[in-house]
Amino acid sequence: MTPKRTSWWLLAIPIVVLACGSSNSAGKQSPGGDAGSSEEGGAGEGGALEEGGMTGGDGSSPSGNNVAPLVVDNGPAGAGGSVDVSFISVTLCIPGTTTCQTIDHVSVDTGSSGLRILASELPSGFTLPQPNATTGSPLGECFTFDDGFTWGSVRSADVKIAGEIAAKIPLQLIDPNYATVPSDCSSTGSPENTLADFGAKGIIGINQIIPDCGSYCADTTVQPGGYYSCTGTTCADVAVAISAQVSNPIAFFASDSNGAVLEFPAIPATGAKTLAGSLIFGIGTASNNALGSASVQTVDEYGNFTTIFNGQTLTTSYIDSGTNSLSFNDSAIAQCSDGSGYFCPTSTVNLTAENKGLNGVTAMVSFSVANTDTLFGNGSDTAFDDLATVYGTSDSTTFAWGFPFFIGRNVYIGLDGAMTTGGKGPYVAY
Amino acid sequence: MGNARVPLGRVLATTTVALGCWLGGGHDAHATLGSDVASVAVNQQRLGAARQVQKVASGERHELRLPSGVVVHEYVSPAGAVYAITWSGPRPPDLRELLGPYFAQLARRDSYPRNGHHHMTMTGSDLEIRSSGHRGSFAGRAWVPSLVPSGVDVGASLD
Repeated sequence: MTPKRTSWWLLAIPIVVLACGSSNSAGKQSPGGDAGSSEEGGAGEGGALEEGGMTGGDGSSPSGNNVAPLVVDNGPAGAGGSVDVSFISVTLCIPGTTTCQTIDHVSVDTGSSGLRILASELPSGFTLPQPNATTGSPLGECFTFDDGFTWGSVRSADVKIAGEIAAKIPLQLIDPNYATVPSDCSSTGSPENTLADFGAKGIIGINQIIPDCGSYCADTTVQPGGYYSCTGTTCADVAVAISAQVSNPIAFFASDSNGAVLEFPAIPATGAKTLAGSLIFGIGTASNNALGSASVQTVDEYGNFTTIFNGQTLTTSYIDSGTNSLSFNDSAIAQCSDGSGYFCPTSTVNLTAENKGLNGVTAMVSFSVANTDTLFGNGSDTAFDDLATVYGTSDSTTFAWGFPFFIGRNVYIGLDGAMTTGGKGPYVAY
Repeated sequence: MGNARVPLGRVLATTTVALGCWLGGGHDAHATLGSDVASVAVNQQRLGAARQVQKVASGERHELRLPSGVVVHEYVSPAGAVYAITWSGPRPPDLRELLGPYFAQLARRDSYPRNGHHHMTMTGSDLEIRSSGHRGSFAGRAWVPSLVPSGVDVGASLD
């Protein structure tokens, strides 16, 4: 049995879009309201944006050894389409050698930690070494995202992005055919170990908290759904020291390792066909990553801070490039009729919230919520700064600032315990 | 199993019964969602949880506190059926145990619609699931629309 699927979700497949009869006009449909709260972009309203998207306000993109280009586009072929996901290319080398492979369309996720690559995207014969668990047997991992789990082996690689290198670090090689998926892994939800299920060729988690599991998986009391010691096809739960866990690669660069900046220029409220941005490594370590006047807000051990919105104090809020919408609860905004949870106000709503770090530093944030059906009605745009959805669970203490928050901003991610010109992480600054 | 590192500060309710060890893989998936109130006790035993029962406006709410720090609420209708389950904690729970025969739909679901890896909305066959989670914090709810007592707003009244 298949879940209900609304045709306009299949954005990236033109044939399906046409066949399902969704609006396919070439021109953009404007949202009902003026996008007064969004930052002014360089391209103006209306009209298709050129391939490659917009550049910064002065017309130039950041450049340098520590700059990796990011792109928001339709995603890799075969992954079913994508909206408001930013992708990066990552090079993996067999440690200490020049035998390397570059993988494109790795999604950038500030909501998790660690590099995960689909084994199916590496050529046969390209074999990375596999570290052992403390048992002496090879190390496997089940990583639980909220929408499913990735399963596979832990591998060791020199990870190269732009001019930065993280030498011999652990990563997860996602592979449904590795050993046998343990029952306490598969019991957490849906497998997403293929390109079609995962939606990208890999993911790079650049959360402030560096190891992907932390003390929870390092505890000598074995916890399910984390790391495994695999003998043949049989894998058993095993504890793994923090130093051996799959972790945010940035922390292991030889330089520019104290954090990163995500930069995306502003776009019209109606969206953009694609969007080019940058991931700049380091904070205050080079001429292109200074904090400037950004407001530094420290976060807790889960990356959370407080958002005050509609009179509510939401204490487990966070910024997450790996969520493709602004996600929060607001019963005053109409939801789309298909029950997907996306918002569909009759006209764009302009709102304000206040974010507050653990350090007490506050910043007001203006944002817009557009009608999702209208945004997707164009059928080919992949970037929107006003896409929003209900948070959707019993948790009423979270405002998840997803990828739309990153558009038109420089967002700084200060890593846990790392000193920067803005103080010690973990923090977010913008 | 020590609980010193439970990040959300949950404390096991030791005055209620905490039975046995979590059995791990290989057990029969026992129906809880959609099943009767007796199945909640089986969940409790298999998950090694402590349980408390509370009367609510439409039936009962059974609270299971798992050793992992996850808190599960199972809502039982006046007709005696578990019509909804909610969870919250530092890890995803054992959904195969809690969703019973409904788990197969989750395991086989299409990836669409996508909202990144930290949220999930699923509409299945007489099954709805909503969940969100990122490191250290996972929360969600699952319910069987045909079993929800009249007058209960799953979105507003379940925690």
